Amino acid sequence: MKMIITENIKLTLSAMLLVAVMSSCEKYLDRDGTELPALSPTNLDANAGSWKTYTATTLADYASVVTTPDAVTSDKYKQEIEEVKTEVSKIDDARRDAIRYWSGGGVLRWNQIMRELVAKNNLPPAENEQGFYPIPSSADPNNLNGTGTAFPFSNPPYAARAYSYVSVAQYDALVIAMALKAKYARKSPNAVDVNIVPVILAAPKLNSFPSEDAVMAAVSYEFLKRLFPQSADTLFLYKKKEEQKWFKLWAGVSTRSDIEAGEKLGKAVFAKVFARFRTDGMANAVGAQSKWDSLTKRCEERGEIAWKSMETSPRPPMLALFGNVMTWNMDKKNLTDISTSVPPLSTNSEGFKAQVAEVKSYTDNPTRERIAIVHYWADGAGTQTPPGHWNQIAEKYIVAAKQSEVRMARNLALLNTAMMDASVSCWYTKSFYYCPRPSQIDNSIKTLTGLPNFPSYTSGHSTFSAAASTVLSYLFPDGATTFQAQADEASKSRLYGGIHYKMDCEGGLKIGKMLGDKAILRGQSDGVQ
Amino acid sequence: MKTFTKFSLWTLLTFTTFLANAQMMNDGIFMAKGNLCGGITYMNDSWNKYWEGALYRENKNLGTLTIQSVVLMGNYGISDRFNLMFSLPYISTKASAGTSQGMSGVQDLTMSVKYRLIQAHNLSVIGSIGGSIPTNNYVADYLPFAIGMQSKTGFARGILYYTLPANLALTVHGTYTARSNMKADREMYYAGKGYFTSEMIMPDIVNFGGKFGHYSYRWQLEATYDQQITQGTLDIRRNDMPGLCDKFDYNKVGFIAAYRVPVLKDLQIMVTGGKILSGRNVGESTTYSIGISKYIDFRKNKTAGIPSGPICRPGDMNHKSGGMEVKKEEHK
Repeated sequence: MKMIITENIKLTLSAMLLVAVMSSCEKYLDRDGTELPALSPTNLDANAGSWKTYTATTLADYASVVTTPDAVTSDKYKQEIEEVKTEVSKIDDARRDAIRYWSGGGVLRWNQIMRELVAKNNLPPAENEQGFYPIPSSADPNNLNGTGTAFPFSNPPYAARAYSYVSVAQYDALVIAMALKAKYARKSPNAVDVNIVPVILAAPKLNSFPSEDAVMAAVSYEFLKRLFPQSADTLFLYKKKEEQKWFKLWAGVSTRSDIEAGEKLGKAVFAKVFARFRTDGMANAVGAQSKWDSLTKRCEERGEIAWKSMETSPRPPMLALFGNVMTWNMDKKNLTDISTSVPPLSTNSEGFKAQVAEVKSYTDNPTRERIAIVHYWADGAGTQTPPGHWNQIAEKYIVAAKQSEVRMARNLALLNTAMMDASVSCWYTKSFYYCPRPSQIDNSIKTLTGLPNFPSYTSGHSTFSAAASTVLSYLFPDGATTFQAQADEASKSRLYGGIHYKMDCEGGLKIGKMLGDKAILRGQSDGVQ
Repeated sequence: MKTFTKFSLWTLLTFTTFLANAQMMNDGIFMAKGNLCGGITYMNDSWNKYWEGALYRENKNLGTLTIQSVVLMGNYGISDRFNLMFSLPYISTKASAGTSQGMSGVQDLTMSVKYRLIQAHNLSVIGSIGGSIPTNNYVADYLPFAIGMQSKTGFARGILYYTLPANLALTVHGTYTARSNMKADREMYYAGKGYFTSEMIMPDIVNFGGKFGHYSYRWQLEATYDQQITQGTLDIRRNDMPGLCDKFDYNKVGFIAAYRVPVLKDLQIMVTGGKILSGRNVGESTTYSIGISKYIDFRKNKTAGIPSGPICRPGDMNHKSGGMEVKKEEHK
């Protein structure tokens, strides 16, 4: 017995060691995709204070919000300088992490944060015991216990709207901030007192008053906490806001008065943009049973097969009246004209039957390559949605172009207003034609991705993608070929997945292009060179 | 845009299917030197209720999810106390309701070695190490229809095997499985926070289990218990689809019954059953399987060889004297 144990003691120990080593392995990713280089714009866009805002707000609107700052020679300012020195001396690892994080730029950081929150909240309500689907309500965002449902359900239209408003609010706020920076021309504390050496950050090239980071922190936080009002999300946002607000004081490149003025301005611009947000028609976008019934009736009166939910307990169509929400880059008439300019095939036509057969040929013969395309572009439940995906694509180009923050905000506003308009237009088209999904026409069509619970024509992915690729091609002409190919692939992915006919994809691409062109018209006249 | 949700359970396939079925992988029995045991098993695993985190629910848009698999297995005796094992499953998934298509394909090749470290009276202390590797680029990030996880694994297992009179035996085993990150087809996902990459962290897995019953050359009848604890912390969120990084935990009971049929040259027929009693982020599945296996004796000089039987129960130090009760006329 003893011999047996001795013989095997090395082996036994080795096995135990192996288990110990394996179980002590930390699990992490070298890169999670949020890494950003420190801002280092090739052009400061110091004249951005003259750029055209979305809400037509101008410097004059903030005369009483941000008043002339104390001179850098004043005693008050000297006290602030002392505070900066004290804060710089308190640097620790948490502050270093925050400085590094925000050095990537608030516009892109808040865009990442927003996409994360969209993904977190992009979950459809579960049906309750009575077989109904509760409607998410902002009045009760924390209803997580299963009797109701949490708010929001950040589906693609909700997300497109969120991305557009936050981008617009950041842009408008930064334009006013740039105007004030030019007006007051206050230097940063490290430039006033050479004894202050910036921590991690390079010495700022922009004027310091008001702090653009405090402006962005305030405007982004105020919007996002209303878009994502669950307690946990609001707390998460609050922490991010506080970090961005103060990190330049910790780093020795902003003073308290720079920051406080920035925060006031951010809140004031938020109020302007939020006034539009509250009255843009979103409140009526869900609809009600009578509205949904009338969409069905209108379709059937035209002699067409009307869409119906394919869920076992039929679910109401997602945001059926979202097509009535206010657009950014065109008026209502323009929007409805464009949205109905490419009609679908009749569900009774031979052409339509051929398109159904085409869908079935794809789902009956899936290939690994096509499934990869379907999944790459699915951007379904629990993700940042297709508009979020296009923000992710845009981020790489914006970073590579080393743009100023105000230009980043402007470009993301162009992109996201185009995708908001695409969302409104596409939902208008969907409710207008109320076209059934392929699996409703032929229930032997088994899809390769989740079947969306709203009408088929046109494809949302195609509309979003064409609008986005059109705008991005305008902003980054070198990437045009890539954007076009990506849009085409995103569009085709829905046909491959068995959830759209070819006409949905082609119609969506055509209409999306028109909507992208409207955003370009704005981009050509907003004063940005 | 997916307006329905689903759930998964293939982890069970990867880990418990073989544990429940391939008696070689986690029991105290060894193939004798020069003997190969090969088998094929059909397995059926289905559920219509599952745990979404701690919430026990059904999903009408999924109905009953059925996972069928056919598993090839082999176990070769390098020596009476050192065995080499492999398994390779073909898996197919299908939901009874909803519009989604199931998936199918060959999954991961698992290989391991098992070594009897210590024999002290009736107690065997056995160690096993091994790993698995995906055999092809099957789709993983699409639960519950995915057939596997596209992750390489390495595992270390300890087995205690205690023999009792009347061919009764108690087996206790524990396994730690380390899993490599996997690459999904998409470039953004939410797993406790937003990840803007296609790489996903696979938390490691701990399995415990035990079984008790009769094991003789001819007959096997054992009751089994298995538990899985995934090292991660992520639950399926309310009405979400499961993610590969989630925590898949369960407690499962089952049985194994097997018989070597004399008229079929001792072809072994094995039937197993299992039921998940409780879990987290897994289906409340019922499993059954039926399999056949056959041993081949590769020893050149069979009559002179020791031992005389193909199966080697470690408790029987001198198993050539009939520990496994191989009757001479059945083993010529």
